[in-house]
Parts: sequence; structure tokens; C-alpha cells
Amino acid sequence: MEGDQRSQGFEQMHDGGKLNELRKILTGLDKEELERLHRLMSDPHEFAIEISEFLPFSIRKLIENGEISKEELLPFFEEVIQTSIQKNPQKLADILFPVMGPAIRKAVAEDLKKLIDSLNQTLESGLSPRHLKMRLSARVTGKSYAEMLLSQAYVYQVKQVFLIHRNTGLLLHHETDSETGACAGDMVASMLSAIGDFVKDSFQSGTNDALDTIHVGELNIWIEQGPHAVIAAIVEGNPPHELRTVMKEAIEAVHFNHVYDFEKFNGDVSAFALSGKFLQRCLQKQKKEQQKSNPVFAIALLVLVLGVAGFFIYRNLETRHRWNKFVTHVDEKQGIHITGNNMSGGVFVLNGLRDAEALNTDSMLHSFGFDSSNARLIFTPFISLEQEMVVKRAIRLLEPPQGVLISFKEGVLIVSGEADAVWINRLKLDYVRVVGVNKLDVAALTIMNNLPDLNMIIQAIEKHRFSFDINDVEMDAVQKKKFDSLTMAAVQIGNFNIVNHRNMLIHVRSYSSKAVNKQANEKVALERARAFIKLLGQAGVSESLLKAEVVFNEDLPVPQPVRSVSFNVFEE
Amino acid sequence: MIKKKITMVGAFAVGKTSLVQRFVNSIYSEKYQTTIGVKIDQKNLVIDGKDVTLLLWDIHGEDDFMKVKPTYLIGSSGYFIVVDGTRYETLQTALQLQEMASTVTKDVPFIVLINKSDLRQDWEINNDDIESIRKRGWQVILTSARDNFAVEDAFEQLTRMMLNQ
Ligand SMILES: Nc1nc2c(ncn2[C@@H]2O[C@H](COP(=O)(O)OP(=O)(O)OP(=O)(O)O)[C@@H](O)[C@H]2O)c(=O)[nH]1
Ligand SMILES: [Mg+2]
Repeated sequence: MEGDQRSQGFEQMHDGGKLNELRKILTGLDKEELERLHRLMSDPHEFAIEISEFLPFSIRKLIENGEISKEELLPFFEEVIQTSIQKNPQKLADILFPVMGPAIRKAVAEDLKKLIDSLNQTLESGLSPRHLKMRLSARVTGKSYAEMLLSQAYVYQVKQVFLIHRNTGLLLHHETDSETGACAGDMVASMLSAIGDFVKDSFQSGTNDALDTIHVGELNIWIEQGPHAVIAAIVEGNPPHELRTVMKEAIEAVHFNHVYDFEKFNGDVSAFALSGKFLQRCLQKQKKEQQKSNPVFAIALLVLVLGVAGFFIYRNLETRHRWNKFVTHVDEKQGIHITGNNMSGGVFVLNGLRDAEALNTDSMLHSFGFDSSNARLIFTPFISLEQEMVVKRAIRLLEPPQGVLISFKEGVLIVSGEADAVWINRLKLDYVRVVGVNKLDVAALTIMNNLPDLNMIIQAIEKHRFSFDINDVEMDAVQKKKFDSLTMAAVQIGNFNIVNHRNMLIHVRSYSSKAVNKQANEKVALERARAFIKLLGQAGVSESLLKAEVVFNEDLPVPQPVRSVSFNVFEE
Repeated sequence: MIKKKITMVGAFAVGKTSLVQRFVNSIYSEKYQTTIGVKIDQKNLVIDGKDVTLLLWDIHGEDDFMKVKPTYLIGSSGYFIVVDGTRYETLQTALQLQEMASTVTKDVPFIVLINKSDLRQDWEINNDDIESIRKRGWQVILTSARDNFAVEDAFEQLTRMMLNQ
């Protein structure tokens, strides 16, 4: 006030250009400058602002010139910081945390990486389809599976709870979400305790400012302190504040129940297994809610989803039902035994045994609407003794003629009806070849007499005569034809013998003469008869029916052409 | 199940980390990577038929700029004071640290490890020095993390002392 008055007086007194000019000459300052200086001197606030602009600069200059040393300044700053901490530790903590945070995080991150890795392992070893899908998307996004799991399913989730001895940092007990599996809890506990110590030390704050949350990436670690132990909960997402209360109650319960154990604690953690039930209460989680959307759309979507799902379920059920019907159908068939029925890679697989005579299963498969793309039949061959199979086998082997019925019962093949003697004969020889048959019953089988009259057969044989130009049995085309008809007749003689238990023989007569050299002629004629028998044998006539014979013309009432062969049938 | 906390103290670069790594992971590296803060490792042992889980707190070495914080020692059932045989001053640091540690831990067992015994010819610590430490009634074991000499013995010995407390 005083100064203002004085300066006003000064101006009043010396108002006028002359004095101003004089002042400028004396001080080198004009009026405005002089006024500013005056204001500065009289107002300490203004002065402080003004001086602060060049103070740091001048201190730096002083240090550079060696006029002040850093060491001289240090105590001053230390004192200031000390005072500041005492006044308000939180303020310094806030300032320091960004600096220390990364170091702390790095320290924990390594261990939590292990934790997440082990999480990954346990999860991957116990895979369910749900997990598989998650893992797939994890691969796509490049996020670790565990992280995906954490971030997708829950608004928040407490995955692990540690009970840590406060003094030693030892893990007293560890509870994990059942899906998670155990991790290196001991080390995590010690790490957390070390971090607690570090933070406490660094902030020098005493009583109630204990650490209560640590952030590591997307994970938070919530800590609840008790006098002897702390609970650390590894939390994903944003849990509600009620979790704090749950944790507080848990740590209180632990202390209440383990007073004595804490008192005498020497590293033996067995007693703290009982604290598990308190810790488990902290393992809370809340599933993500479905996002709200327009109900009309939601309902439409729901209907669609249900429809599609319904269709697939129906189709699935229908296919299964059809398959089961097919399996029952096949299993009922004789000659087939089902030994296994399962599904593999979306394909129905049927295992079993199948007799060669059984029905074609492939066509059955098709008739039930399946094919090789959705069904596989794996059959091992076997021989079935089921009635139908034995009968089929018998029919294939015995080739019964029309009018014959074959059935099978308890090892006995029953053949009934009417059959010719030849087939019956073959039946009696061959029935043993039918696997499963050990007896033949032909009581109801009658012989069908379809054999031509013996005389007719004999005539058909005896009418033939073969003449050869040279001493050989070469036949021309006409002779061959005759030969075929002879053969047929000869076979009929054989059949006649079998059916009638007779012993008719065909004498193959080769004609010769006694002239010149009887013995030589006889020999040649016999050779010819034998060669002819051989031909007949090759044509299917049993050689036991045939007998070679040489006849000399000289012995005959009517001579026959030499080098010819004729036939006579006799009963032996 | 018994669990015990063991702390490694000593001057910087004496081989605390090397001893722990040798014991826990059977590895050794020539490369010196100074420990910042604390690194915790775990080792399960069977001593006299008892299962013991050791939590090993490998803390940073003491130097002019960084004093070892007493809080790291709180709750230790035992500790090692590690000395580098090739540097005499690390023995002096050891003596100071022992004083601090015994106050904080209320006289739990400890063992002085004089490390780098593979460099015996370069040692600045002689037998008289070792004798005078032993006269204080302290256990002294000469170790080499490099050659895996007496490392396991040292840990087992301290564990035994802790269990018999
Ligand atoms: N020759 C020899 N070298 C060793 C031995 N033990 C450790 N070293 C070396 O000494 C150096 C320091 O070892 P560290 O184990 O890191 O020492 P530290 O005590 O953990 O050091 P800080 O963490 O900084 O306190 C490393 O280069 C080691 O390779 C030993 O038994 N013999
Ligand atoms: Mg180290």
C-alpha cells in the first residue's frame, strides 16, 4: 500500500517528458521496465515465479562450474523425500509404482507362466469335445489355450487359492478349481510373499497399507491378510466386491481353527489340509451371460437352432434305429453271428462270423439304406452247423435232381423223394463230404426207374461195328458219331449194373484170321481191342465193364471183316 | 509334509545363484547374471526318511548400492552365508550379514559356504581365516558350484540342522 502511494506521488511529482528522459539516461530502463521490477520486488509470489524459471538453469551451471556437488545436494533431497513419505506414503507409492510395477510383474510373470503352462498341460491331457473346440480357436487366435479358457467362459473366476504362511512365505494349503489341476504352488506362494515384502519395504508403510492386489497381465491376485497367514486368490476377470468378504471370512476361519498350529508352526503343513474347506469357498466363478438381444430375433434363432438340432437329433436317432434293425435282421439269419457292433469315426462297424452259404449281407445292407460310406461289415468265415446252412451246403455238393428233398436234423441228412439210381449211388458215397452230416437217412427216397430196357441197351451196343483200314484205331467223322452213341449205351450198362446189382460185361471183339501167322495176327488184334477200350475209357465208360477179346474168322460160321471191332454183352 | 525356507545371503557374485542352480537343476553357467530382488526355487529332499520341501530364497548380493533387506530373511528356518574364496572382502561382508541375519531369524542354524574352491590357488582367504571362523562355533563348508563339490552335502547338512532344531 505504502509503495503504491509512493509511486503514485513519484509520477505525479515528475509527470512530464523531461524527467522520464533523465531517468532513462540514468538507469538505462524505461518506465514500463522500471514498473515491472518494482512490482516484482514488492510481490514475493510474482518474484518466486520469475526466479523459478532460471533457478534450475543456474543450479546446473553451479554444478558444472564445480561450485556445488551432487553429494551436497543429496541429503537435502533425501530429507525432502523422507518427509514426504512420512506425510503421505501413498503419494510416493503412486509415483514409484509405474517404475516398480514392471519389475514385480516380471518376477511373478515367470512363475505364472509356469502356472499357466501346467494348467495347459492338465487341461490338454483331459480333453473333452468342449475343450477340443476351445483349443482349436486358441490355435487360431494364437492365444494360449489356458488364456482362452479363462477369458471366454466366465465374467470372473477364481482359479486358485493359496494359503500362505505370512512369516515364512510357505504354502500351507492350496485349493484349485477342479478343472485346473495342481501347479507349483509352493513357489508361487513364496513369490507372492517376496513381492509382499518388497512392496512393504519399498513403501516403508507400516500398518494397514499391506498389499491387497497384484496385477499380472489379465490375471489379478487378490490378497487378504491375516495375522499369521494370507490368502492369495488368482482371479480372472472382474469379481464382485463380495469376494473380498468371502476371503476375509475364510482367513478368519483359518485363524480361528488353526490357532495352535500357527503357534507351533515349524514347517509341517499337514494340519492345514483341514483349511481346504474354507479356501474352497473362495473358488468362485460366474459364467458369462448370453448377450441380450432383440427377443424376436432370439426366439427365431432359438426355433431355428432347436429345429436344426431337432433335425440332426432325429436323423441321428433314425439312423441308429435303422442300423439296429439291420443288425437284428442280420443276426437272425442262419450262418451269421454278430460279435461286435460299434461306431467308429462316424461309421457303423459290424463284426461277426459268416458261413459261405449264408445270405448276402451286402444286399441286406443296401436294402436298409446303408452303404460303404456309413457302414462297414467285417466278417470272418466260419462253418455253421445250423440246419439251413447244412442243407444249403448239401445241395451245393450233392446237386440233387428235381423231385428230391433234403433236410437235416441232429447230424442226420434226410433225403426224400424220387431219384434215379445213379444219383442215389453218388449220394451214398458223397454225403460224408457235407460238413456237419454224420448219417444219411434215405428211407423216404425211392428209386425212379428211368433206365431203358436192358435188351434195348444191348441192341444199341451190339449194333455197332468199327472197321479199320490199317492196324490202327483211327476214326473218321462218321465213326466218331457212332462211337458217341456206343459210349452212351455203354454208360447205361454201367448204371444198370449198379441199380440192379448185376454184372453185365461188354466184350470188345477184335476180328482176325489164322492165316500166315496166327500168333502175330492175334497179337495185333488184341492190341486193337485194347486201344478201343482205352478210347471208351477216355470217353467215360468204366473200363471194368469192358473186356478185350480176339475172334478168328476161321472159328466163325459167318466170317467177319478182318481189322474190325464189334461188341457183345454178356452177364459174367 | 514339512516345508522349510532357506535363504542364501552373501556379497555379490560369490556364487549364491550358482549354488542353488547346481543343487536344484544340476546346471552351472560361467555367465554372471546378477540377481535382482529375489529368485525362489524349490527342491524336495528326503532326509532321514522325512520328506522335506525346501523353498530356496536366492536373494541379490550385498554391494555398496544395495543392502540386503532383512525382510527377505524373515521366516527362514536356516540360511547360508556364501563367501567367495578368491575375494577377501566377501568374508567381511559375510560377518556383517551374519549379525543382521541372526537378529532377524532369532538364531536359526546357518552354514558358511566358502565357494569357488576349484580356484583354491587364487584364494585370498587362507586356512587361518577359515580356522578363526570355525572358532566362533560356526560351520564352514568349502564348496564349488562349478565342480559340484560339496553342494548337495551342504544343503543336506543345513536341512538336518534345521530339522533337529
Ligand atoms: N570358478 C568358479 N566360479 C563360480 C563358482 N560359483 C559361481 N561362480 C561364478 O561366479 C559368478 C557369480 O556367480 P553367481 O552365482 O551369479 O553369484 P551371486 O552370488 O548369485 O551374485 P549376485 O546375484 O549378483 O549376488 C558367475 O560368473 C559364476 O559362474 C564356483 O564354484 N567356481
Ligand atoms: Mg545371484
